[in-house]
Amino acid sequence: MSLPSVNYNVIQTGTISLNNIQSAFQFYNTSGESEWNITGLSKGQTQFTNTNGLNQNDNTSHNFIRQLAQKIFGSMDADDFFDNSVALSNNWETQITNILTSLNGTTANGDASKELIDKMISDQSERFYITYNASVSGATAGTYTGLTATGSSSSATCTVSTVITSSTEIQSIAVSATNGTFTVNENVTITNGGGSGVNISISNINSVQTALLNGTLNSSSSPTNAPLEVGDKIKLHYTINCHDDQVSASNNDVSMSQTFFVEYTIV
Amino acid sequence: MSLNLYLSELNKSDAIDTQGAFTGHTTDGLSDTNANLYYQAPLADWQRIFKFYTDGGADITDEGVTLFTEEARDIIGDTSAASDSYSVGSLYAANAATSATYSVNVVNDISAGLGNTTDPAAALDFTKELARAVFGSTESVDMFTNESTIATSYGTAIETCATAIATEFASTSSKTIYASISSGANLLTVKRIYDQLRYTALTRFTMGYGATVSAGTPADSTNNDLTTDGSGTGATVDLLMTNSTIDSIVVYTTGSGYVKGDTITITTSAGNSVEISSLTDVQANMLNGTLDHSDGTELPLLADDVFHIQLTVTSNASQTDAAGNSLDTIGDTVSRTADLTIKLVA
Repeated sequence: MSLPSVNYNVIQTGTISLNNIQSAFQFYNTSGESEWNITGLSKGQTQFTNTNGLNQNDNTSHNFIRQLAQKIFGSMDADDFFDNSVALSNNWETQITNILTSLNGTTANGDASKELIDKMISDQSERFYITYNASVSGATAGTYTGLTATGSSSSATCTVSTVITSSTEIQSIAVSATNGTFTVNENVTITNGGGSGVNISISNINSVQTALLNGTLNSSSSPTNAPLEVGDKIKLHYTINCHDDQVSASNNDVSMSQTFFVEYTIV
Repeated sequence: MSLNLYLSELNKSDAIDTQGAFTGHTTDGLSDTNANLYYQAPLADWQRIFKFYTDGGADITDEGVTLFTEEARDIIGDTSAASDSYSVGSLYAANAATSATYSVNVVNDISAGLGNTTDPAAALDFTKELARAVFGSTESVDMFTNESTIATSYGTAIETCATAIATEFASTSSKTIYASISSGANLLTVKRIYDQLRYTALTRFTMGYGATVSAGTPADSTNNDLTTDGSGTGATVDLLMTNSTIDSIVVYTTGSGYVKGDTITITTSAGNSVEISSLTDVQANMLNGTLDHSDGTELPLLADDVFHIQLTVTSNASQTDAAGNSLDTIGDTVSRTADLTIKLVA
């Protein structure tokens, strides 16, 4: 989806921890469908926090007052005509807090998770393959079946097949038989049991790779976290409206909305 | 490749619980004065004195605008603002009742009843009260041997008061934020005018003040071009309409070169238009985006605005009563107040 227009173009920035956010967005693959079709789960409780700038004394708050002055008096520079700028900015911060509370508490539907996963499948499709972060060296091109994948910390194993196109290039890895005990972030090695030609390493498997190896990508009871990573950015759209009963200097009803983005970088 | 994703499903919106307030403050009217005096001031003389500017978004406090007054020896009197000296000689005039109430740069003391210049009401009021103190009756005025000199001296006292007023504006004041103004007659005066304007004439501080529909029936529209009979260029505005009523005009893009008195015409894409026939300095600076410049914007004073100043004239410190007692010593000093009504005329 293209970005909506905003009337305050300064993007507010903040951070959110990977552990905190990735479990808030979950999905599972809807089985029985011929096409890739996912179900997003209700967004979990998240701890989006106030960013460094979003308080009553920052430029975003002042921009709200300036926009309100523009609506009421006709010019943004008329902000000092207000008698209660402090009360306005205080209340603006209160509404930011309310928005965060609402944002973190939003669990009503799975649309947000689905939107995130859909976008990631479109733009970060590599994260949804077992080959993500996989490397091979000294391999002989060919198709290999019945290989054993082993987790570095869980010691879990499963059976996979792979197509190798050169000594350093993996075309695909497919799970033949799942086991169910791989864990996120462990390393996985794939070998052909002492035979020559295959020695694949996958570092720090993500949530999707783990589910693929465990055969749980279809599980609605054990959904898969979004494969978010450090450095990813989530952009949220905020709207702060003026009071419903706000009137202009001419005593006409006034409506005004300040819109801006808050961008969280995952750390 | 890192993800950079706008999550539209998490759009959040909320309304603030506080309304923006802009009430201003009124001031008590002048009452219980003993006489009336009248003065007509050129509008431009007064407009140029009282100025303000905003902080341009520098902070969020309730300090209000910054106010100041320009050097203004002509606030009352007949001298040039650029002059280092001022004179109020001949400022006071005993006028016949048939004279205009207001005259430019003249303090008129309108006839009390005879319809001629021999009974200026304020001077006569003072003389009568002096007669009461000296002889015991206001009807004893003719018992003074210098009745006309007393009246003349009353006028001189009024002129001295005018000099004192002009002295308050003998130089440009400090530029002081509204909330910090607590002293200085010039600063307190500009603060009081600003308060009263906001209380009774708030719309003068808006871009839409004085706007009228000049062609067709304009609809809500944004980023409309302006034409002007002046030299301003570049500004565009939004129009908010309810049928043929102009609800609001909002600066969309600031321009430059607009000045007080310009006529601007706002034309929508449909060819309908709204006109402001004479920009105030506030509107001109809104269009120029200079409401926050420390050069200041004139407070939106307009023709027919009226101000009142209380002038007090007291008896001579050596004045005695008919028995030879000093009026000051016996506690019977004559003190009479006049409401000097100042009307601004273009």
